[in-house]
Amino acid sequence: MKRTGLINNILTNWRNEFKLSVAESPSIYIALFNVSGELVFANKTIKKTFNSSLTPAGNFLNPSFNKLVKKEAKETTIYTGYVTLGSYDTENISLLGRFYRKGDEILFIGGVDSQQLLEQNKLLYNLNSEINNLQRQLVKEKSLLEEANAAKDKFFSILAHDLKNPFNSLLGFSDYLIENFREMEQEEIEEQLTMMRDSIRQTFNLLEDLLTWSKAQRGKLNCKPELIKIKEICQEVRGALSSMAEEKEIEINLSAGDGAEIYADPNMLKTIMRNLLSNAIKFSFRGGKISTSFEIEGNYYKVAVHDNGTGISIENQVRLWNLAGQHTTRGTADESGTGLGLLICKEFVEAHDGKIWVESEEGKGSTFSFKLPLKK
Amino acid sequence: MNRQSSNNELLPILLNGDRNRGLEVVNRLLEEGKDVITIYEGVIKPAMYEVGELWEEGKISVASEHLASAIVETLLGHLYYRIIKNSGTNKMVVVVTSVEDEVHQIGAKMVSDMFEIHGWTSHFLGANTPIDELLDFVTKVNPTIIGLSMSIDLHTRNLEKTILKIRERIPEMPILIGGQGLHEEGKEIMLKHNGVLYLKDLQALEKFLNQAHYEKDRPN
Repeated sequence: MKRTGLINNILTNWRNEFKLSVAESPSIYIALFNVSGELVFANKTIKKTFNSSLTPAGNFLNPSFNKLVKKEAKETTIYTGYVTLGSYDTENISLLGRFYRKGDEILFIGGVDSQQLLEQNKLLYNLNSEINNLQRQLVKEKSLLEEANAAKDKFFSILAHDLKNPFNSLLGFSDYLIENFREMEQEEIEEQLTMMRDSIRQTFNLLEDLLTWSKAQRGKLNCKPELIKIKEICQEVRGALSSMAEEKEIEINLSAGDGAEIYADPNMLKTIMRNLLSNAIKFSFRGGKISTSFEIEGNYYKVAVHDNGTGISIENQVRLWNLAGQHTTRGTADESGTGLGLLICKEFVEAHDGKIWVESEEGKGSTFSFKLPLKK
Repeated sequence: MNRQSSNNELLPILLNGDRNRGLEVVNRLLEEGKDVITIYEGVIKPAMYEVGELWEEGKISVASEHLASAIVETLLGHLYYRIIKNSGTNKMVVVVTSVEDEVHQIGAKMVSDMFEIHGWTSHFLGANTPIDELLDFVTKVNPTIIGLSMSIDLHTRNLEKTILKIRERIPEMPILIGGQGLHEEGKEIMLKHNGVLYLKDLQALEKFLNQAHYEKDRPN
């Protein structure tokens, strides 16, 4: 049977059922007007949609009822398309429908475009997901900005305080020497000059650290790993820190097997070891012991530096690697620092795709460990 | 409805609600050296006008129109980082809003952005700002100029009511008016009221901002 035949069949044989379904359907909107705009019939669904502050005909925002009345009919159809109900000042909805005209009557039959609803539902869902992702990105970037801001503040604070102060001492020492060197004993002069040199060296190290850290912040670190003998690194680092350790009578066990090799950038590795060991010395008590270990663990080479000094509280452990939470603590002999050492260690270890961490107990000591990937 | 030809590249993107493709178009235009004003006036605005026309012709639903507006708002947000660089660099302040009952705000947002590009501090109040709330805000902020937007000509009465109320409270306050709803009556309204200037599009606003010489003492 042809399609039109089928519909006719339904309309003829199922008239009452069809009438009921159409009239009561929440998706079908029916309204019959006369050409003067008077409502003749409206089904429940469209009645519920009508805004009571407008006339029923006035609810047709686009096309407006006045426009429709002027349209010419094609057979009985005067309009096909989206029909918006409501007003510019209130909520409105668009239905897909037709207006028909017969004599002095205009009939509207329309419904919700369910295909569009489904599509827009999907779109909304996707947009919502995107918004959530953007929100997360925003939060991350805010956090990065805060970190960058803290870095900038730290940089200026170090410049203003830690770099400036040593120059005051140097000026003092040099002024004293200039005024008094003729009367001073050689030993005294040597003592003054030694203090000046130590101060200069400390300032130089600080400046180096600052520049290194600044390079790391700008993403300009150049990590060039190669196979190096650990023993050589240990000898160099021991040399640099021996006087510092001797002053506090601290014993350092820093040795590796003759053949032990690590795949690392030599300068970065020296800096890491020097910083970890100088921290260990700083926070050890007089007569303390510092030990190191070097071993292969899976695909990594693990290095650990252990001291039996002051240890670090849990709250401060959390803040160690976070620039915004950075603070410096004076050592057991009142040694000062900038707080940059560990941050630099972290940057250097991560430049190797490695990892650095601490295990510590307040009053008992700390173990700083890092691991670097083995050469592939 | 003022018919304009559109850059149809953006139109299907807006109708499909494709935010990412919209951003691609905007980014490409920026890479080609187009400035924000060109993108607003030459690309986004014609596309949105065409969206409006399609709705008027019954070819799209109001939901599609809302979706297109939402995508455009995202594009404006994306461009905002280029706009705020200069914001507040001069001492002048503007309050921009759509009039009471006017729910469209994209045009007003573009106007607010233009002021900021020119170094003004702009307070954008959004759509459908009740007249009394606008007056209270303006009294508090004491701007150099107020900008009123009207997209639908049915809101002319509210526009004129707003102008009169501003005059009552702050007789000397200059007022700019604009928007799609004023294409027929903008000049007439301008001539009816003192201190009101009708600007028909963003190019006219750009000209105005380039030529404006406002000396206003503002306490620090």
